Amino acid sequence: MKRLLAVFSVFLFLLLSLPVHAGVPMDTVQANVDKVIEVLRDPKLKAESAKETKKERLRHIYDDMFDQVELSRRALAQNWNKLNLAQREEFVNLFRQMLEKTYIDQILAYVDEKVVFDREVQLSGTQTEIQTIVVTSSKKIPVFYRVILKGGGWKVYDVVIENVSMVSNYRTQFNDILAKNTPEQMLEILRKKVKGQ
Amino acid sequence: MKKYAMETTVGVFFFVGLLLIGIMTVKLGHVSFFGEKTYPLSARFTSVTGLRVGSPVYMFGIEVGRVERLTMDQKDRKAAVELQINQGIKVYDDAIATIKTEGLIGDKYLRIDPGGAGELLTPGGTITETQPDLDIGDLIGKYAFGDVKK
Repeated sequence: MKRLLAVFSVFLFLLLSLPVHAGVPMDTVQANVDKVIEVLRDPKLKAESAKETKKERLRHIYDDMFDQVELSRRALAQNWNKLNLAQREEFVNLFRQMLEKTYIDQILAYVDEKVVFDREVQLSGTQTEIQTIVVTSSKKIPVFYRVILKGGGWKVYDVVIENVSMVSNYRTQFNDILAKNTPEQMLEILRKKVKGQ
Repeated sequence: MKKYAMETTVGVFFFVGLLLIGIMTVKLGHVSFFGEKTYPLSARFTSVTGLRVGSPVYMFGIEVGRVERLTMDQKDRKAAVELQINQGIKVYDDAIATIKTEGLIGDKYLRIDPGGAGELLTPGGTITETQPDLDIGDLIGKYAFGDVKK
């Protein structure tokens, strides 16, 4: 009887501890954002010569934090099915490089902004929205990270700034491009953009 | 015989009149006798400013449904919108629902980009990617006045 009670209470305890995962998405995002800020604040990397090292470190954190394939798939949506496997692979790669070229300077321009982790909102069984506020000297900018549970970990698949989604923004643009170009032509446009800009 | 003919005529006219009123009601009032087949979907927004029950849902510029219900989730601080989408319109789980304004200051409507690289949403499914309407006033205020200190 006692043994049965012990087994039962252990079982109950395990059941009760299941909801703990609710805090994991925010913790995951927070840990990554902290790493980014650490790199941006590192006095040893302040020099112009250390810029490439800084970028390399940030790239590493980005790869850990973001699910580039999910992000790319959502940016193309129905058009994703128009690309063959090789094209998809190249698109994922080019898109990542294009995002880097577009945003790296703004990120490196970090001065001392604070990132406040506000709340975590569940969007679905495997998707959560982490709401943060970036506090600059003059304004408060809401930045939401949408994360998806894949392979046991939470990865970012969209960033929503001032209620405007990055995926939505790029989806509109890629839709326009693919309405007038073939997938191969779109890839060529991206190749040129990544090389040239 | 004549009396009956008169009454019959009046009766027929009256019946035709009622029928016409019925058809007008269906056409103008969006009331459907045969139940335009629709299925429910839901979406949650941080704000649904101006969206009303009955507001249209557009996809590629074509009306594909209506807003059925608006409820509030105070815990998560979101507005939950229940939609009725016409049968046959496919919406996937990577769909994006955005609230837009007709023109600059017109009526609000919901626009759905159906997505297509994910799973098909079944009746009762939820569109997770949503965007509220752009609050131009807010944005201008934030970025115009924010620069005063610089």
